[in-house]
Amino acid sequence: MYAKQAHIILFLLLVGLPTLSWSQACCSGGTPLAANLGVAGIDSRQLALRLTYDYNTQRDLVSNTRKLDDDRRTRNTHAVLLQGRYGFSKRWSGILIFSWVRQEEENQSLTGASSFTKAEGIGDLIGLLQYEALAKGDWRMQVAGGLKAPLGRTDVADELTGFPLNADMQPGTGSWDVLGVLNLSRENLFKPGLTLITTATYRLTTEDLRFEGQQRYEFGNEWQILFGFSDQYVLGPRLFYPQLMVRYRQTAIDLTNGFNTPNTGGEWVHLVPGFQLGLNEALQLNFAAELPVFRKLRGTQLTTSYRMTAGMTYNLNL
Amino acid sequence: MQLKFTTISLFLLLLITACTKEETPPVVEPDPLPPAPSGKVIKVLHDEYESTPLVLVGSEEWNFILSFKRELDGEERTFTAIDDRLPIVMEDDQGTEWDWFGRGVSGPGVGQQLELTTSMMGYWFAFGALYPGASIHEGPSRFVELPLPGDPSWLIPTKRLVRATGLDAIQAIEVPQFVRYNSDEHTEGSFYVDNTDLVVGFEQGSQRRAYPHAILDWHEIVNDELGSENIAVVYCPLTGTATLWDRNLESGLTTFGVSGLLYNSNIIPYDRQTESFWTQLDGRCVNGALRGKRTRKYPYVETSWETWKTAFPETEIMSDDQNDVDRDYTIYPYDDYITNNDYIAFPLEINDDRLPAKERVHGVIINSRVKVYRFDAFR
Repeated sequence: MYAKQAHIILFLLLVGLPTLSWSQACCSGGTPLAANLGVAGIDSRQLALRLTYDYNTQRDLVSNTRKLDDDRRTRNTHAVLLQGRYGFSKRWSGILIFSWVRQEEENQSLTGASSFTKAEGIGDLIGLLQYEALAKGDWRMQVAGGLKAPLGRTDVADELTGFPLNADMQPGTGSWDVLGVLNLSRENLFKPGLTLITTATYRLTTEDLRFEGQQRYEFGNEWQILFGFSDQYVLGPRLFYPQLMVRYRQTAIDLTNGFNTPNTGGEWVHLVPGFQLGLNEALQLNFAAELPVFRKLRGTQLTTSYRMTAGMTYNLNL
Repeated sequence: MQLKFTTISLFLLLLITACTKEETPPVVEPDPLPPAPSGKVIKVLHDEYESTPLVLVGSEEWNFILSFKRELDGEERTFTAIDDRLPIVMEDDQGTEWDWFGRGVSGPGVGQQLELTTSMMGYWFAFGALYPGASIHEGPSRFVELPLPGDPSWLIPTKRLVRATGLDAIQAIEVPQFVRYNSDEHTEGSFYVDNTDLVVGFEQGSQRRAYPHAILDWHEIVNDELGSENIAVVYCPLTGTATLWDRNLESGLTTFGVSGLLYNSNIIPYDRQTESFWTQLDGRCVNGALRGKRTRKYPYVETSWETWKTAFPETEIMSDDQNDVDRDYTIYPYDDYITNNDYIAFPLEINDDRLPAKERVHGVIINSRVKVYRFDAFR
């Protein structure tokens, strides 16, 4: 029983934490909903609450595959996410994610002077319905689908000029998106506790109307594939789960009024090391970092230099 | 003995011959031939707009159009074009020859300056949006009411002001680096600027400098110092408009930066000294401590690199190695924006479709109205 719970927690953290992130706009990474969304098995009538802090810093200016020698722009995204996952039955469960987002941007001119802008507020809301399609032996497969609702603010104004900030600085996106997730895992691979995890996610975007309806903007559709391993060790009374994963992410070009938006879209490969620590049966802590290893971007974009996620999960049997 | 005499005689003969050669008057070189006719035509157009007599001189083949006020010393001049003597482009009815910058370079008016118009090249849609109801020379007319102002602290309608990016997110060049053009070294294909690429050309005394669009597309503003002049080249890649301002303002010497605001898709520069915001086309401060003031403009030429270096082979041009700035200036940063007439990134007051949106035209702004001239009048 404990082992099963441990695996549930493991899945929650390893699959859940780094699985999805929605980048908005030209800067290709830091995100109003800089969060993560996982699908994993959960028992019937079980509620898992997770509070996550996500920090994404973008300082790398990349032209195609080359990192330019220029770090005068920085975009930091702080996101706090509250995720609730509830098992309706043995196979069906639901997920809701609420978010609060703060975006900070600092630009330094060649004179050395710098400017600072921030925007904060409620971010978009995600709702997913999940089905466990396979639970046989050491194999598990879950599929999930849902929506991202434009609950977040899109009208935060610049303190200097009073004009609404550009879209990629807003906490919300303003658009409804359709989400699909497929998760496949194999426990006890080669040795007890070693788990192979593969997760594929897809986001189908829709248009948002801006500037009093005069501009139609659509973020590019997005693929992500997360692949890696986690292991399990006993540290005294606690369970320790190290992980090492690789994230491949590909986004299509954004569209403005139906036309390609310059300097958007591309491919990223990130290394995602992390761990989870089970303090007791109900409470777990987790941490993950994300480091870019390869980028192939369309045009020149400010993109993620590194990313860190920390959180805790509390499991309740209702 | 006879052999010795013969040898001495031969030596003396050679010596005399050599001396004779030295004393021969130097061959008079003929006057250098005038440059071979290029076959490219320059045309002059006389017009009147908003009760202001204008002269426009341009060439589709050389890729430039310039305009000046036709009145000088209280009388209207009549001009004719001069081909193949760039930068000299026209002659008036009193025999004065005028160059690209409106300066009298020979004849009775040498040293005089034609009065500049507020004018520039740029994409048609920008003039149509910023000055609704724009006149088109020999083209269809349309009357559109001017937009209403919004926030009273601004002198322009705030309805079409958007924040596209942050202050200084696009970095203006502060200490530009130049190289002297070398025809052997800077050959087509091996230099980052191609012959057909556009440059903004400025002359001060004997110094000439070219500011390529290839760099301005990335940085939009170049703060420079040439001789005693402190200038700012301000370019908007979204509207294709360039201007050249004096950085000496009423408040003192400043530099300009990119505010990240756009007005009808057009750049809103800000001055770093007072953090006032300016409109590019008319050089007017529209918000801030200098509200209502205007910048002093310098004459400049926007033309192809080939034309500029033909006129000024000894020109300097911005280097593709700008200190502390890492960019590949052979890459145009906005995809197909420059040629896609359907793609305009930000909202406009009016999308005037009488001409293709990205057609480069010459706009003359008088009394807050604009008249545009197309290249087909200069072919």
